[in-house]
Amino acid sequence: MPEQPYKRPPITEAVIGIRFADPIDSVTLDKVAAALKPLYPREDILRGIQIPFNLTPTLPSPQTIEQAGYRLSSLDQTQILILMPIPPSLTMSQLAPYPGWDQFFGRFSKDWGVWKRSVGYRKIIRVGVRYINRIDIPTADPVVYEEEFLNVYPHIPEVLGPMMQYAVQTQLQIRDIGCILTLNSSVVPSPLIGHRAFVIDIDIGKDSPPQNDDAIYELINRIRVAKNRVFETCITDRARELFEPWLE
Amino acid sequence: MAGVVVNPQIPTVLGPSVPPRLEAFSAETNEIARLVAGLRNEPSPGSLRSTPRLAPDEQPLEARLFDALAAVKILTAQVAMHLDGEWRRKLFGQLDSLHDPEEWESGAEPVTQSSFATFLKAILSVRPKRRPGLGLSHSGNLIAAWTTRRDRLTIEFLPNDRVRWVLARYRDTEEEPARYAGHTHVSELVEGLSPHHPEHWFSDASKNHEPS
Amino acid sequence: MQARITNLPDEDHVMRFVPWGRLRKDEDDNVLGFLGDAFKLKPNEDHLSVNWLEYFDGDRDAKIQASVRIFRNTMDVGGKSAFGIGNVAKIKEVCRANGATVRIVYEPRDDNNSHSGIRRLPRDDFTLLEALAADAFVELIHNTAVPFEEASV
Repeated sequence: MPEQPYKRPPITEAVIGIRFADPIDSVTLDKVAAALKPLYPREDILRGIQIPFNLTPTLPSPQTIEQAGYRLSSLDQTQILILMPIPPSLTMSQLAPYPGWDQFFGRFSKDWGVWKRSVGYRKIIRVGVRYINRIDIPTADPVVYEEEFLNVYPHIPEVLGPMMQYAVQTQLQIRDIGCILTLNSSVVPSPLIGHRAFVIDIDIGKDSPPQNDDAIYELINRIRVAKNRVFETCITDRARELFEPWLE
Repeated sequence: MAGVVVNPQIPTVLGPSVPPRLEAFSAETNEIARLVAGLRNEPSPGSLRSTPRLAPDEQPLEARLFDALAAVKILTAQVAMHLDGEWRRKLFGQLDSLHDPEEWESGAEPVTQSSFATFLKAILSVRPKRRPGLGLSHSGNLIAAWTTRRDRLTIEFLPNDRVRWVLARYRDTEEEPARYAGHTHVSELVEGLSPHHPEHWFSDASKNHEPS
Repeated sequence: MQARITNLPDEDHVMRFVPWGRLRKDEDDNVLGFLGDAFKLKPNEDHLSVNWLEYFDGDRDAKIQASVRIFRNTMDVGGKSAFGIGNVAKIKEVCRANGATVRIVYEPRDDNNSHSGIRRLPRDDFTLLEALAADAFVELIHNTAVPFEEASV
């Protein structure tokens, strides 16, 4: 049985993100980037401006700080690692084609190992997994009947007519793993001619997560199971046909 | 929660942008809008790009070429689920070869995102079994060429979803070919080519040419 | 030294430098010929630059080698680039068949005494450019096929 249930999964990007409590200084960031260089041959500096919403009383308002982070990537640009000083974070991304969970998580554990050896322990305040899916529907009709493909969509009175565009955003608890699910779904233009598309963006994260590696890995794997459950619940069989399920 | 602007360059060339909305004026409405915006997921890491500090003509050539290649490879990721893995890998090899700094012509432009977006739409619409040979115009438009014996099909991918193509078919007894050309929106490419039996170039069986 | 003339004789030939990106290739990057874009005027050009092959002395091979060396001395010639050779009469015929009347004119430069220009070429006629690539510039010389030697202007 293939690890991936579909021949053409609609995943456009998969992300594992770790957010830390305290800012990361530039010396540490430089050290980590250098240690990760063998895994990511391409290195770009990210320059950003932070505008804090939560201001400390002792600091003047508004406050802007320029910070540099790193965008590390593979030569084909499908494997990306973002290191940011503020918000202090390590974010690993995989663009399509999605290689399957084993490879994706395997890369994360390798990167995390390099991080820990370079930086040591830093308090983690959030662990999250995010999958962005785009479902391309072949149709010449400007109106797409979302209920044929999705189980997540806004409900409006029929007398108002079919929707041409929408966006749904919701947050729910996933109690069994103590996480918050942020679910975004919307109609988007498809990059394919003669198609329309829906995005299902699933972000599952845990604040105050475990701090040791084994527990973090276990949490991420449990989030993955939950993410799959959420995704399968959000789509219909008609959508599944588009991804070409492996026949058992 | 702190907000961070990191110059996101979200690739929107594969589709139109969201139309702007009217701004609200009341504080309560704006607070509601802020809470709703808080539900939105942040830009994905794949969409974050560094903004070059130097203008393109001030950047070292290798950096300029790499940035252009990176941009189109990220674009390809948006449709990679619809591409054969080997097809994609060889496409990247061809693109890398086209942007070899050792072969670069001074003053030329690397492949533009807009042209490449048109190329992706065309390829996913036409779905040729045979990959084309690739070239690059001086202004950065990707050019795809299929050759079957002496017969040639050439398509240039222009910005804003436009394509222009010309094909030449030689009859055995004639030295001069019959030439046909078109200049259309990419959505009309299949229709434009269909009277000329494009399978003559696109099918696996059509691979029959002599390298020079 | 050739006598100074304006229009190149119909029986003579011209050579055009074609960089790697504008070579016609197959899916495996094997070179098949030229793309039409190799003969397209750049925005700041009012003529298509070529070398007059018969300007040079010696047999045909010697002329080709001399012309290639000029290109190597005056521009960046990448290892995988090539040169297209076309007959003057054929070039004019192909242009005429596609609605364009061109002149191929001897215009020597300080760094290239063989320099000539194809004038009155339409700026961006895709069909004509493809015809030039397929039917006019019919001979392709790989840069790697021409030995490297000392060049003289």
